[in-house]
Amino acid sequence: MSSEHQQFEFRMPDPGEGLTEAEIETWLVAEGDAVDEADVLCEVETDKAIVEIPVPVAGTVLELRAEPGDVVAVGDVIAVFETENPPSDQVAVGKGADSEADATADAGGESEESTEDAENVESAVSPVDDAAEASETADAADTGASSSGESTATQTSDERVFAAPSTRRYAREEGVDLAAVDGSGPGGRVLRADVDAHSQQAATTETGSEAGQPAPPSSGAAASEAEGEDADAHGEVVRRPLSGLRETIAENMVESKQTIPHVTSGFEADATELVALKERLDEKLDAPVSYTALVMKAVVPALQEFPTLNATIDDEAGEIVEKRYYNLGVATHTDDGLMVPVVHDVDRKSVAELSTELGDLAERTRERSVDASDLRGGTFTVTNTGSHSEHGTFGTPIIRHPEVAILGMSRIQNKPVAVDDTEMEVRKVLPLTLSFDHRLVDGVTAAQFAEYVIEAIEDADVLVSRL
Amino acid sequence: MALWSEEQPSEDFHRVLAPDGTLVGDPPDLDDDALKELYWAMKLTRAFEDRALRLQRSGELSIISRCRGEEATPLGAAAALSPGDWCFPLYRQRSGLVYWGVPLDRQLANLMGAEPETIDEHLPMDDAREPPVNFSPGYVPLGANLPNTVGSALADKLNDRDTVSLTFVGDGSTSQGDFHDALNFAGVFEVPAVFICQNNQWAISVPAHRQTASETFAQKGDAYGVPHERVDGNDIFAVYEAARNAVERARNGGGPTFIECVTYRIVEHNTADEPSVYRDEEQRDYWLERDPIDRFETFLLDEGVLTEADVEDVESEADEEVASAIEAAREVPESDPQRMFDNHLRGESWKQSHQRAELERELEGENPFTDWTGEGFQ
Amino acid sequence: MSDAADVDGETSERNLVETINETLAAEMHNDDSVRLLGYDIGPIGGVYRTTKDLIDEFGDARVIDTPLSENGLLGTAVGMAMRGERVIPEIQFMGFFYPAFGQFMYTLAKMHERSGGAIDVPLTVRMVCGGGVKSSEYHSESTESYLVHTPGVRVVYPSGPREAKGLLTASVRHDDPVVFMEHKKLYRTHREPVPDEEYTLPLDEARIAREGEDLTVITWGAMVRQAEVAADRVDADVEIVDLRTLSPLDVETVLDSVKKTGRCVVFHEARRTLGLGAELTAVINEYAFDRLHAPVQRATGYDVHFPSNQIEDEYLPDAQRAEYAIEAVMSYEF
Repeated sequence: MSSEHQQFEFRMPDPGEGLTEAEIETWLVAEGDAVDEADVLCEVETDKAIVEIPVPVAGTVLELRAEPGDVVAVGDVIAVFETENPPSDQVAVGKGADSEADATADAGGESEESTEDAENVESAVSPVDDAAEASETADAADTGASSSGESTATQTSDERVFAAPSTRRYAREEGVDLAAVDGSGPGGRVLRADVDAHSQQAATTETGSEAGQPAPPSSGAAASEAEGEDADAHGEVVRRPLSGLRETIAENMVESKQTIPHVTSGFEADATELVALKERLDEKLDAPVSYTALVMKAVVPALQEFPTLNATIDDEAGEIVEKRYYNLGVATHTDDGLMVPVVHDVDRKSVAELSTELGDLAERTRERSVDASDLRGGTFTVTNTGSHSEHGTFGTPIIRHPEVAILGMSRIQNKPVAVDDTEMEVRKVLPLTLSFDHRLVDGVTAAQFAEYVIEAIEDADVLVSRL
Repeated sequence: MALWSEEQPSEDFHRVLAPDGTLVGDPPDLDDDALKELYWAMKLTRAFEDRALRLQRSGELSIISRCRGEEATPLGAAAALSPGDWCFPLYRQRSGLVYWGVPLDRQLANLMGAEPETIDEHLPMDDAREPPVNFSPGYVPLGANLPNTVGSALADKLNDRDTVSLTFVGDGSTSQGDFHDALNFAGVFEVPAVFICQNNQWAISVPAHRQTASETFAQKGDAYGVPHERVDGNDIFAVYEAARNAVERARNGGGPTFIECVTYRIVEHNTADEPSVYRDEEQRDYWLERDPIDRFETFLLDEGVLTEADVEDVESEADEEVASAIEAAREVPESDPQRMFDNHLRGESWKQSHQRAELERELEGENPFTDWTGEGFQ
Repeated sequence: MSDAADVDGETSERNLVETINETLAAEMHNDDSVRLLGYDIGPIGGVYRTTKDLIDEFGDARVIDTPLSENGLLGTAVGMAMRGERVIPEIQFMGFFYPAFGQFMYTLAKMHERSGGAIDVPLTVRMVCGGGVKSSEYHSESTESYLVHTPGVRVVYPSGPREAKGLLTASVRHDDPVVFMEHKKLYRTHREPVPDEEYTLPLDEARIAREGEDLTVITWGAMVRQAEVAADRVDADVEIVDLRTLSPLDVETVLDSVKKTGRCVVFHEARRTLGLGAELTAVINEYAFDRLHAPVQRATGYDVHFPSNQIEDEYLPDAQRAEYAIEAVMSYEF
C-alpha cells in the first residue's frame, strides 16, 4: 500500500451564493472510477438552477454517499476519493448557524422569541436588521464556501504592520494590538484614526434613517480610493472599499451576533412623570436635561440589583465576571458610522453632570476627536433612537460584546393607554427594548430588570430614593 | 637583499670632533661641568633606550623609535637653548629631552600607552620637575611641528620677547609640504627659530637620495632666504656650536637658521622595522665607527675630564635612574577608559556626556543602546 | 543672555561685513594678543572688505598678510596660539582650506587633547564659505561636515549680523579652537539692527528662530532666511531651529522641538550625503523615534561638485525646496 495515497472526503460545496442545500440529481461517475479534475462529479438542483459539481481531485472514486434525489446540506460529505494530492483547503461549514439554533432550542420557554429573533424578517423595520439577518444566513451558508477560507477582515499577526512611530506608540499606550488593526492609510498603513476605530466596540442602532443612508467612506485614506463604477453579471454596480470605522463596525456586529444568543424583549413605560420631571429640572438647571441621562440613572440601580446584566463572560477562564463599576456606553451616530463613547462611573454622577457629559461626548464623538480611552471600559449600553425616528416601535439592538445587555429607548410619544378595565387615557409612553445574552441572563431576570428600571421611570420618587 | 645602493652623503660639513675622538677644529667654550652634563645626557639616553627596547620585546611597551647612534644631534641643538626657550621635537630627539630633564618616568608611561591625564595624575609635573626649556609633546605626523614652531617664534617676535624656538625635521620629512611652508614663512617673517634637519639617511626603508635631487638638505635654505649650515651630526661640538650660533642670531633678531646634521640611523626605524630587508649592513658598520658617544667619551677621557671609573659610575648611575623610572612608570595604573573623552573641548556637551555614560554601561556589562528618549537608559 | 534680542540699548543697521569688521576691531581693542592672519587682509582690507581699515588702526603686527599657503597660515596660527596669542586666521575660501587639513587635524584640533589639557589653542578660524554668488570653481564650498567630524574643535555658523556679532565675540574670547563660518552671500544680503554694545552669545545653544507646533525645520547659516520665507508660505505652523553651533550640537533643543512637533525637515546648503542632516536624522531616530509622525526629510544640495554658474541656482537649496519638504512631511499620514 502506497503511503502516498490518501483518502479525501469531499463535502458538498455551496453551489451558488449563500445556499444551504441542494438535491443530488445525477452522478456522473461511479464508485471505482479513476477520475481527474477535468471531470464532472454530479449534477445538483438548487433553488435556482441545475449546477454541475466538478471532480475535486485526481484519483479514484471510493464511495458515493448520496443517492439521486437526496437533499444534501452544504458541508455534508457526499463522496470519498483516494488520491495522492488532496486539496489543502476544505471549506469550514455552517457551524455558526447550528450553534445558534442549539442555543435557542435550549432556551425552553423563550424559544418562541428566539425563533423570532433568528428568523426575524417581518418585524424588521430597519436594514440594520437585514444586516443581522444576512449575517445569520451567511453563517448558516458558511462563510468560506468560496475557496478562500480565510476571513478577509484582519491581518494575521504574522504579517508586518506598517505604522508611523508615533502611531505605534499611541496604540501601545491605548493597549491596542496593531496587528489586529486594519490600516486605511497608503499601502495599508495603520493610521491613528484606524487605532481609534478599532478600539471601538460598535453597538448597533435601530434607526431606519441612519442605516438607510449608505454608509459614507470612513475617514482617512479610504476616501482617496476612487469609487469605481463597475458591472457584475446582473448589471451596473458601484464599488467602494469596506474599511476603517465601517469595517470595524461590521466585524464587531458579526462577532457579537455569532457569539451571543440574543434575546430581545419589548416594554413600554409610562413616561408622564418622567416628562414632568425633566421639565422641572430644565427650569432649575443651566442646561436642558437629557432623557438619556435620566434613564441612565434609572438603569444603574437596576444593574446593582441584577448584577448579571452588568457582567461579562470570560470564555478562556470559564468564568462570569460581574462588574462593580457602572460605565454606560451611549450609542452615538457619526457621519462615518456608529460609535459608542462610554460614560464612566454613572453611579457617581448627578443628572446634571451626566447631561453635560453626554452632550460633550456626543459632540466630540461626532467630530471624531474622542480618545480611545473614551470608547472603552463599558459595562452596559444604552441606545436612544428617539431623536431619529418618529415611527419606530420595536427593534433588536445588538449587544456590544463582551457586555451582556443593551437597552434601547425610542421616542416618548402620546399613546392611548387603558387605565382600568374600561377607561382609556392619552399618556406619554416610552418604548424600551432590552436585548440580553441568554447564556447568562434568563428571560425572567431580564424582565425583572426591566420592571425595576421602569419603576423608576414611572415614579420619580422611586428614582430618587434609589440614588 | 638590499634594494637600495647606498649613496654616501657628501662629507662637506663642519666637523670639530673627529670619530676617533681628536679635535679637528676649535671646540665651543664649555667648561668641564657643561661637558659632563652633555656626556651624562648621552649616556642616560642610551641606557634608557636600551632598556626600553627590552621592555618592548617583552611586551611592556608596544613601540619605540630610538636615537641610538644619533644622540649628538638633538642633544647638541637642545643644549644650545636657554631656559624659557621652546622646543618642538618629533620622536627621535630623546637626548635633547633628557638633557633638559624631561622626566624619564613620564616618557616611559607615555610609551607604555597611558593617557596624558593619567600620567599627569600619577606622575605629576610639579615645579621641581618642570624642565627649564618648554617642550611641546612630541609630534608624530612628520613635519607638523615645523609651522607651529614658526608661529611660536613669530609670537615671540611680535611681542618683543627674546625667546627662541627650536625644532627638528628628518631627511624624509623635508619632503613634506609643512617643511616648505614653515621655512618659507620663517624666512618671510624672519622669525627667531632654529630648524635642525636630523639627516640620518633613512626614512624607514627609503634613502635620503630618494627624498631630494639636491646635493644637500642644507642648501634648501637658499630657496627660502634662510641661512644654513651643514655639520657632522655625530659631532657634539660641531652641532652645539652651529646651534649656539643660530640660537644667538635668532635671539638677537637675526631671523631663522637651518642646520643639516649628517648622521646615520644605525638602528631600526622603530621596533616594528627590520632594516636588513632593505639596506646593506656594511654601511652601518662604517657609521658604527663614527658613533657620537664613543668619540666624545674618548675625547673626555683623553682630556682628563673623565676617568674610566667616572665612566663606570656614570653607567651605573644611568642604569639606576632608568631602573627607578621603570619602577615608577610601572606603578601607573591602566588608564581609565573614560580618559578618552578628556580635554577635547571645555565644558561637557550633550553627546560627550551621553557617550561617557554609554561607555560606562558597556564597561559594566550593560547595554549602552537602550536610551530611547535621550533622557535615560532602560 | 542667550538671544541678541535680549541685549538692551542702542542698535545700528548693519550688514554682516560691517558687523564682522566692527567686531574684529572691538576684540582687537579689547585684547592685544588678538591678531589677524590671512591673505589680502591688510591694505585692501580683505577681498570681501571684512578687515577694511584694520591695518591702519592696528598696524601690521596685528593685521598680517601671509604667504600664499593655507597650510602654512593655519600651522603658523596654531603655533602662535600655542604661545598664548588669540589669533584669527582667515581662510579666504573654504574651497582652498583643504591643503590645511593636515594642520587642522594634527595640531589645531588635537594639541589641547594630546597635551592632556596643558596647551591651549585659543584661535578662531574665519572660514569664508557658501555659494550663490556666481563665482569660479571652488569658491562656493559648504563642506562643514569635514569640520564637524573632527573632535576637539568648535564649529560656529551665524545666520545674520546680529547673531554674528555675539557669536564672533564669544568665539574669539573662548579658549577652545573655533571655526567661524562666514557665508559670503550673507555678507551683504540684508541689514538689520545690531546692538551697539558688545555682547556674546552662547557657543553651544541653538536658537528657536520661530516657534511652531506642526513641524520643526532645523537649519543654519544662509538657509535660515530661506526657511523663514518657506515657513511664511506654507499652511503648517513651522518651528525653525537655527543651530548656531554645528559642533558641539545642541541635542537637547533639537530633541525637544522634534518631540513637540513630531515632524522634521533638515535644511542645509551642503550636499546631501553625510551633510549634517544625516547626523541630525540619526540623533532624532535614536531619541525621538516614537514621537515621529513622519520620516525626517532633508532638503539639501545634490551629491555633486558645485556646478557651473548657469545652473547654480537650481543646485542651491532655497525657500521653494524647503517648502516642498515641509509640505511633503506634513502630507504624510500617521
